[in-house]
Amino acid sequence: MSFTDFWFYPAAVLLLGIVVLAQAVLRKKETFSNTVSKTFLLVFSYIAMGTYDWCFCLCMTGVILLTYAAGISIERAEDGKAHQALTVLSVVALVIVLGIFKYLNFFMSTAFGIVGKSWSALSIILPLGISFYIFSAIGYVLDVSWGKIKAERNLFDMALFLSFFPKQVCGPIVNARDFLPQLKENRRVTLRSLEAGAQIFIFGFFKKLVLADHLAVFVDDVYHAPAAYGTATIWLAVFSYFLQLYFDFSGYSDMAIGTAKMFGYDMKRNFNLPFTAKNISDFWDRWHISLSSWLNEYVFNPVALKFKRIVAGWSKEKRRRYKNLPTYSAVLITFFVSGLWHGAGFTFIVWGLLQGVISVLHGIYAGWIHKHHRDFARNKPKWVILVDVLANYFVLNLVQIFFRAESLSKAFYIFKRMFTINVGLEQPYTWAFFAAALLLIATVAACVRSHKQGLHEVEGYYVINDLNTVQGLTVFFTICGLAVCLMYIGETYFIYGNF
Amino acid sequence: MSSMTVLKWCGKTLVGGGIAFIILTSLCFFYYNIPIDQPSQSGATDNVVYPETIYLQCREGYGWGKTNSEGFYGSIEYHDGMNIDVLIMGSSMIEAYQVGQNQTVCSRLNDMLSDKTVYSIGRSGHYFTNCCSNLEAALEHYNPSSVVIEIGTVEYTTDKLLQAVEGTVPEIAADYGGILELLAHNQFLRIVHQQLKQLGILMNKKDVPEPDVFDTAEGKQQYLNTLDELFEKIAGLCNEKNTKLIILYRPATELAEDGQLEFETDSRYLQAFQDSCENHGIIFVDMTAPFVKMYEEEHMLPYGFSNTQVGKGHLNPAGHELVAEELYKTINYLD
Repeated sequence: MSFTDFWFYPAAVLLLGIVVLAQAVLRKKETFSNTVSKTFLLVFSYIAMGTYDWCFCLCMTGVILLTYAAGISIERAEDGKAHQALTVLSVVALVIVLGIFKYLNFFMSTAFGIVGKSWSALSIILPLGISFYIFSAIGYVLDVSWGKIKAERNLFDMALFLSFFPKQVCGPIVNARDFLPQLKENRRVTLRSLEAGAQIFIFGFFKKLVLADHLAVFVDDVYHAPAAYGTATIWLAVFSYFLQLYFDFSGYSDMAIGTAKMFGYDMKRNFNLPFTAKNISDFWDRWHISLSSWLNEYVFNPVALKFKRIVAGWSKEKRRRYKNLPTYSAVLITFFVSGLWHGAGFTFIVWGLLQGVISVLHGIYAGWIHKHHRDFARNKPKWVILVDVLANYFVLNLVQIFFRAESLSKAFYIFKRMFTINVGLEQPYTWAFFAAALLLIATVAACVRSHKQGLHEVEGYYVINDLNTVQGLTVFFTICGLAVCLMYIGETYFIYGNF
Repeated sequence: MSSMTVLKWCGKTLVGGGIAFIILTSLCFFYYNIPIDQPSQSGATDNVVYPETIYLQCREGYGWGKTNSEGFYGSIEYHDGMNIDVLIMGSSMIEAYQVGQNQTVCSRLNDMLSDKTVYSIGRSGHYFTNCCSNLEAALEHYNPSSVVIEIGTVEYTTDKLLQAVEGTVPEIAADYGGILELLAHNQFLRIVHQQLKQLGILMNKKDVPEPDVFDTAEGKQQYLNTLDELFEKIAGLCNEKNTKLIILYRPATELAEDGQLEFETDSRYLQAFQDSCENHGIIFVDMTAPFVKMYEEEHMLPYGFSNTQVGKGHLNPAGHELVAEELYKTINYLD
């Protein structure tokens, strides 16, 4: 049961009512009231997951118990070696869980393929949102190991942290340092939290069910049979897919953030106007922020540090010559992990590595510019920044072909169709232009706002109206009405729900 | 929180909701403003829409115009005693509010057959058996020289055909009645209702395959007999009025992964249909080959619009044009 299921809405409203009622009845017993609210949230989270398949609940419970036990064991280990061994063991165990469910068939078929044999795929179900909660669990284990947080002693809090229903399908990957303390506080449903949460939710709803789902209709058709379409339409579909991906995932994230907010919990925003990014590093600071922060903290930094230590042992000349090697190697490894995290397939690996290579090339270029044209690099004219943004956007659109295509051969075929003149069906899909126009308007509004506030970087924001005014209520109801009128009714899916 | 504060907020909510409702209704006027159904008086169709009503929609394709005095989407006005040369019956494909009034099969055919009058009574949901059921009344009311029945499939169950033979095809009720009819005059509420209806259909969708009548020899024979009976009945009705009967088959299209245009037509059903038509002197116009030709030579599909899925949904202007051309050839040949 997720945001695209009809029954989610009455169920969530019912839950909200129960939580509010519990808080009102038990208002003098704050701790007990908090425990009751959390219990309802946990039960609902399990029911929501169980509506897909009860086996998902078993897998989730296993991961919760493993993470819970790992955190306490690591904290209790007094011996440094035991501490390290337990950390490694816990992380490996979590990775194995993810590996079995998500990658076993892929790795086995690849390995068998290399030796010229065929692998008959095992029928393993992919538990819903496993990549998201396993990464949250790994982050928690490492945080405990590195002493950033105390191990969680309350099993129910640990369970709610990992299974919290708004983030079940597509995250965001919630950091234990941000979320576990909230469970200790007496978080309540307030008018303010409802006001902000409902508005964030409806923006997400609009993005997903109106924009992303309509774009999916066109993109799916073109990617299914690219041979049928003319060059211009293939280009439009490639650009539309990036828009679809953004509206789909950021829409889900907004709905998750909004729902959590309504229940009194905060989750950090997951997107920050990614299309205004000037380069690929900037892009990943703005796109799927929870994943890029996770990868930065738990993959890039440790790997870069490790390589730097290795390089430190080299001769001075060699060190000078290869001074960027640790960083670039860490970048490539991080993007490789990112690609693999997204899916068990070569398209995702190529997608990840390609971005790693672009990032390294950009690093080399940026280093060269800083060395030879320092003033220019520091005070780039606005038109150059605009060119950077457009060039980055263009390149990223091309990279996403690997993300969307079902196979590498299909991805290359789409490239071929794009860069050769082909006649075929032409579809000037109006939803693509409508979505692009809305995004452009929102981006310009954010640029103007950031400029007025004197910010150096463009910052996205949620428009939160005061729902105690007629104006605010009118805007809110109008957006709700538009979302219902324009929403796509058909078979829909969350792209990141597959990961 | 005092009760006064709550009361004030409720007041603001009502005002805000009211203003939003007016804004949404105004926007929906341009987005999906379709007249609602009402029962038909003539019996030529199960229902009609409100007559002489302006319609405008851009939800699927872009359609605009005014319904005629009989409650059909065509621009031609019918009056008693009028000489109708070609009467087109069929579903929403022929109703065609997804395209401009001058782009429909009926309109294009009127342009092509300048000395003849073509009149369309296409109505949403009026498939083959419904049209067969209404044929007698339609012939009685319009007394046309030729009648075209548009169909989107040739696969029917024996039971369905039997209903048409026995005249027990369930009548298509008008969408709204009573208080709902009143509410449906508001465009915003109408769309919300449509959305919920579609959602309901989606949620209750069960992929139960229809029984294949060709599975057993007995089933096959029963099907062929019923089909024959039905065609005898409708051909007989037309013969009585000295009307030529044309069945227009426009198959649904599907794009294969390699870019080839495919059709889901089951050749056994198609053959049975064609044979029965031939046996009873009914002209069968199959749009399969023209659709393929249009796709291969002009790289266009007959269905779908720039705001909907390619190759799915209703006939687009190019599809209407092509169907009109094929009917034009057939009618000229008959003459």
